[in-house]
Amino acid sequence: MKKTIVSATLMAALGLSQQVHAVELDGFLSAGFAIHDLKDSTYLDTISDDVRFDNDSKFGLQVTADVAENMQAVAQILGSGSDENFDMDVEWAYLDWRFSDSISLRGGKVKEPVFLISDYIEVGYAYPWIRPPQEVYRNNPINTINGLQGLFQADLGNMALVFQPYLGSNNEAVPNTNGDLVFDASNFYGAALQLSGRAFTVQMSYLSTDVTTTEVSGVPTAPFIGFQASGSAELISMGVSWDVNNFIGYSEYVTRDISDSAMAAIFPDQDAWYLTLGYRMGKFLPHITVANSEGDPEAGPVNQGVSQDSITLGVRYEVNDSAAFKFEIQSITPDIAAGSGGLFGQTPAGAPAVPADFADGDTAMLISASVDVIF
Amino acid sequence: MNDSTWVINGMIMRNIIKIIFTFSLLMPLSLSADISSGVFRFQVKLAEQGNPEAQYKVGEMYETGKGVQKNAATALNWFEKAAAQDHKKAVYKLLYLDIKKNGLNNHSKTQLGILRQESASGNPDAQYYLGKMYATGVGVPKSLNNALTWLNKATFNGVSEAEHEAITVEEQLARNREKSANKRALALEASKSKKAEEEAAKKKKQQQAERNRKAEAEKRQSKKNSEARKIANEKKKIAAERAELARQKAQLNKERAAAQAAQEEPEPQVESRPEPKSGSSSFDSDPCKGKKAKFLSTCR
Repeated sequence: MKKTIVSATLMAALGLSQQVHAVELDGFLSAGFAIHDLKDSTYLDTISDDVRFDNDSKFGLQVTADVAENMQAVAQILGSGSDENFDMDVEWAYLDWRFSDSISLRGGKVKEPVFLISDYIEVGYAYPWIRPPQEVYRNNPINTINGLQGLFQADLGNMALVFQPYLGSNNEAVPNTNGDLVFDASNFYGAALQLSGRAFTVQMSYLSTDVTTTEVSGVPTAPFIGFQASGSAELISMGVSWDVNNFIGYSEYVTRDISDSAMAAIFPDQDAWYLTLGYRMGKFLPHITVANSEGDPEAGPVNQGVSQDSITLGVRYEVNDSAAFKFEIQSITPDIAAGSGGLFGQTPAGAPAVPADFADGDTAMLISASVDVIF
Repeated sequence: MNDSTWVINGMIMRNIIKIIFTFSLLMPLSLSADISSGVFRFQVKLAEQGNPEAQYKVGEMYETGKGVQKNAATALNWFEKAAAQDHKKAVYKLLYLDIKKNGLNNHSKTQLGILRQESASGNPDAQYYLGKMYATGVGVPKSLNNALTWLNKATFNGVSEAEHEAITVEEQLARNREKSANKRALALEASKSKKAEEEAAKKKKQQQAERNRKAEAEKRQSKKNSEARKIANEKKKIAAERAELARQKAQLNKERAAAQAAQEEPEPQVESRPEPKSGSSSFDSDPCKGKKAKFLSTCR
């Protein structure tokens, strides 16, 4: 009963007509906590030295409705702990027009497939970590665009080739890595090429966008104020995953290039990579992740970029076929010598990213646990 | 007289002295022979007159060749004449000669018994002859110790021949003891030698047995190794055959599947990742599998 009411509400919100033939409602939920050992510092905007459930707790509903025989309406409503009171946002919503089994066109608010798991990054149950390696995934703060996306699929023997070009814009005041900069993205376009076999997936992705700052540390920016930066950003990523004889691996590399020097000063160039290795032992999946992020050493004083190394030891336990428990310990080493606090941010505003006595080479420990379910 | 005359006379004198000296040396022998001959003649006269002692003496002289040519038959004749007159020595002499020549018989056994009794009674002549019998093994088992006992008694009782005989027996005993000692030494040496030979033979046998045992063990090990190699080769062969069968089976299945696929002409599908070995409740890295597939926009 409740499911029907929610579905009807969502469909009404999407403006769908009475011609809907079938509606499918699916949900996911992640409940997790994290704590680190650096006093008066925050990691990934919300994780502090107190136990907090903000960063890794989220709840989502996905509605799929068949509009016509070759058309679907799809929407995902997401509320996360990082937003106040789990305010529900429409994460993405689009109309999918299928021309054939191999060609589709989507229009609306779509996800751009920059990384291996961008398509399902909110569904924690679908990947081994509590959160994907942030050294890589934080390089693209724009998860969705308003625009068009094509989907071309071809079978190559035992393999499948997927090509996803897209274009559009995002004017929703997207925060940057450290949350102190808000910008718009326009002329957003890119493409991803993915090849999948029995036990592997390889993906390459490219995107380009023009970005303009709209707010810095809560202060609106405008040309007449003299502190508005704009430029173009390019992001190239490559990723591979494999699953052979219970040995599971993920690895991705990304490079971000900001063209304008003024923009680069507050939103610097970045290179990052990670490697995850795991071994499946029945219901358990122990894994280790090594990650690195390097910010442009010539970045300006506003933002020195994200430079850090981390090693994460984690284990995933399958509670059943719809729920998983995860536990991770992460050792983080910000590159203090390069003037970067890594993914540690300032709190309160203006304070250093890490404590003053945190020297170069010191490590911070982050402990996280979560339960992820789908339904 | 001139000097040359004195020289010739001196030489004659020296020759005379030489002759006298030589004669003086030969004189005792000649005298002794003459004495023995005289004694014989004197004894013969007495014997012919019927004196038993003289008859016995004449018999002994014929027996030993003293004063007369040795003649055993004549000696025996005189001994018998003396014995006929119950001359004890002659009787014992005849008994001794009889037994020595003919062995024991009923008569001589009786006579020997009498001899024993008389010896025990202290008759020196009887003791002498009994001792002689023991010394020579005539009529009694040869026993030098018994012979010496009786000969010593006879000597003590005044029989001079017994003393001579006793000395001979003692010398014989000494020789026998020496022989016996030598024999024992030889026997001991032989025993030691035999024992050493036995030990050597035993050691050799043990060494041979050890060599045989080692050879047998090596043979067994060699056989075992050979069997192990054989088994390993068999296993390898079986494994190769199984692998070949599996390959053929896989090939067959592949051909069947291809034939079936050609017949059914199914929709092209992407081969998905393998199912996890541990079952559905294991993590599956393929996002398009399981319930999570519905959250992906690219899964078919």
